[in-house]
Amino acid sequence: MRSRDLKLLEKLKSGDASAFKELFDLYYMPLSVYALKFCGSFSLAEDIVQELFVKLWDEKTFMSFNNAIGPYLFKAVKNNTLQALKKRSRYRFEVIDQQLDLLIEEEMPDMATVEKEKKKLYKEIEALPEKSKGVFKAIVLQNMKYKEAAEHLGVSVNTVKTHYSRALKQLRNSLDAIVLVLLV
Amino acid sequence: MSKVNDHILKLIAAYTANNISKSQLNDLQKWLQEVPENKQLFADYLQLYKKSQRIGFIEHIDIDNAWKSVVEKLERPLAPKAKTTGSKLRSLSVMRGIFKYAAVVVFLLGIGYLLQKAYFNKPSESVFPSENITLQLEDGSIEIIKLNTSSNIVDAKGNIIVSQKGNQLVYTSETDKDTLVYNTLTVPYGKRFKIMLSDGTNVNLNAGTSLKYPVKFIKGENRQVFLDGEAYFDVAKDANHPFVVNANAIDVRVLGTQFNVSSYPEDETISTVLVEGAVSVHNKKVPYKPETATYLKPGFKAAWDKKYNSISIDKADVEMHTAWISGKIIFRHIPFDDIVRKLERHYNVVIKNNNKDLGKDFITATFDIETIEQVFKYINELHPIDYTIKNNLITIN
Repeated sequence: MRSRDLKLLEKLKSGDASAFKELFDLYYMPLSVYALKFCGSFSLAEDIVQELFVKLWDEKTFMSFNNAIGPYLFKAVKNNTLQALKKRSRYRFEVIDQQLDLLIEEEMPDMATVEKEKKKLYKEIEALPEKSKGVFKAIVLQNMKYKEAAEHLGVSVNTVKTHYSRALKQLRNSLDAIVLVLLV
Repeated sequence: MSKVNDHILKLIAAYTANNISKSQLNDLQKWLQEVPENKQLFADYLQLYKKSQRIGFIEHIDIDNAWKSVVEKLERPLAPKAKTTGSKLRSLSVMRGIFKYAAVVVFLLGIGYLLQKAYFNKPSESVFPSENITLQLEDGSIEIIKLNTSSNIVDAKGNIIVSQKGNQLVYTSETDKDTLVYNTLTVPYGKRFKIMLSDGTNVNLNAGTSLKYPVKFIKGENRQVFLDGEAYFDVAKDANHPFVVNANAIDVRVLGTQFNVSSYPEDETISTVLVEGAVSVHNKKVPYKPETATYLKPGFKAAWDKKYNSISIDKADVEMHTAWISGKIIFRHIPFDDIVRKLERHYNVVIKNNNKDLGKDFITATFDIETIEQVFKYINELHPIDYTIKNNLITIN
C-alpha cells in the first residue's frame, strides 16, 4: 500500500492526471468509512471525502507532501469531519464515543474481516422478525432517520422505534460472540 | 445476558440513531452511572450499531458515481484541453511552482491547511461587509468583480476585454490592441484575487492591493506593471521582454521567475522575496544598468527602506512571505507592532493598540480559518491583554 502510495505521489507531482484517479480508487472507500466512524452519516461522510479530493486536485495540495499521501488524507478527513460535526452537534456522550472509536481505530478496515462480519450480520438480520428486519435495514444499513424509515415502510414512527430497539436487542444477543471478540 | 429494560433499550436505540432528546439523554446518563456493567453494555450496543452501519455503508457506496461527482466539482480540468488562442497552458507547472512553497507551509501546519482549504470559499471573516474588488477599464469606468463567478467583461463595442473564471481574471493576447492600454485591479482589505496577464504571467494579489497592467503587452517593449500593495508573481518566460514591476521607489526586473513583492504605502519598506529564478531590484530614479542593480538569489529578500533610500538583502523565510497566497498569515517571532498592519489587511479591521508592552512582544502564530475574534483570543493567551472588538474596530488598552 505504502509503496503504491509513494509511486502515485511521484506521478501526481509530475502532473499525471491518471494518478489522481488511481489515488481516488485506492482511498475513496477507506476514507469514507473512516469519516463515517466519526459522523455516522452516509451523506456527510461521502461529501467530506469528495470535497477533499476536489481540493486536492484544484489546489494541488499534494505538492507539499513529502511522505505517503494516505496519512495526510486520513488526518484531513478526521479533522474536517469533526469540524463539520461541531456545526450540527446533537446530544452525544463524547467520552463513550471516543472510547469506542479507539476500538475501531484502524484506518484501513481489512476487507476480508469486513466480509466475514458482513456474512454473519446478514445471517442474523435474516433471522429477525419481518418488521424488525425492515426497520433495522432502513435505519442502520441505509442510514435513514426514524421519520424516513417510517415513511419508507409505511408504518408509524413509534412502530419504527419499537422494532428498531427489538432488532438491536436480538442482534446483540445473537452476535454477542463476535462483538466480544472484537472488543479484545 | 442482557439486563436492559425496554425503556433503556429505546434510549440506546435513539442514541445510536442520533435521535435522542435532552431529557432522554439525561435518563440514559443516569442509567450508565448506576453500575459499571451498564457502560459495557452500552458500548456493546454502540459497537454493534457502528459495525453494522459500516457494513451497510460499504454496500451503499457507489465509487463510480462518487468519481463522477468529484470530476464535476473540479475547477481545474483533469486533462488540460488544447486552447486555440495560443495562450500558454502552463497552469500545472505554474501551480507546481507556487505550491512547492505553499507546500512547506502546509507541511508545518499539517492539517490546518487542508481544513482551511475546505473552508476556503466561505465568506471572509471580516466583521463588516467589505468593499468590492474593482476593475478599472481604460476609459476609467469601473466594473465590480464578484468572487467565485464566471463571466466576460466586454467593452462598448462588445469585444471581450477579459474573462473572469472563479477568483481569477484571464487576459488573452487575442485582443487587437497594438498600443498600451491599461486596466487596474483593486482588491480591498479582507479579500484576495488572481490575474493571468496576456503573456501568461500569473499574479496573486493580496488584500489591500492594486495592480495596473496593460491589457496586452506590446512586442519589443518591456512588460511593465505597477504595484501598490502585495503580489506574488509567476512570470512567463520571455527573455526578449523583461518583466518589470514598478513598486513605488523601486523597479523589480525579471525574465521569468517567481517572487513576492510587498509595497504597501503604510509600510516602511518595500520587500521583494525571490522564490525561484533571478531578479534584480533597483532605484527607479536611476536609469537601469545591470551593473548597478541589486541581484537577489532564491530564498533571499531585498528590503528597500523608503525613508533612507537604502536596500538591504537578507535570507528570507519564504513560507512566511508567501503564506497569504493560500489564505494564511504566518508570524515567526515578529513583534506585535509589526503584525498589526497584516492583521488589519487580512481581516479588514482597524486595530488601535494602546498597550506598549504588547507592541514589543514577539508573536509566533499561524492563522488561516480563524476569525479575528479567535486571533485575539490566542494573542490574549500568549500575552494577557484588555481588549474590545466592536464591529471592525479593535481597541487594546
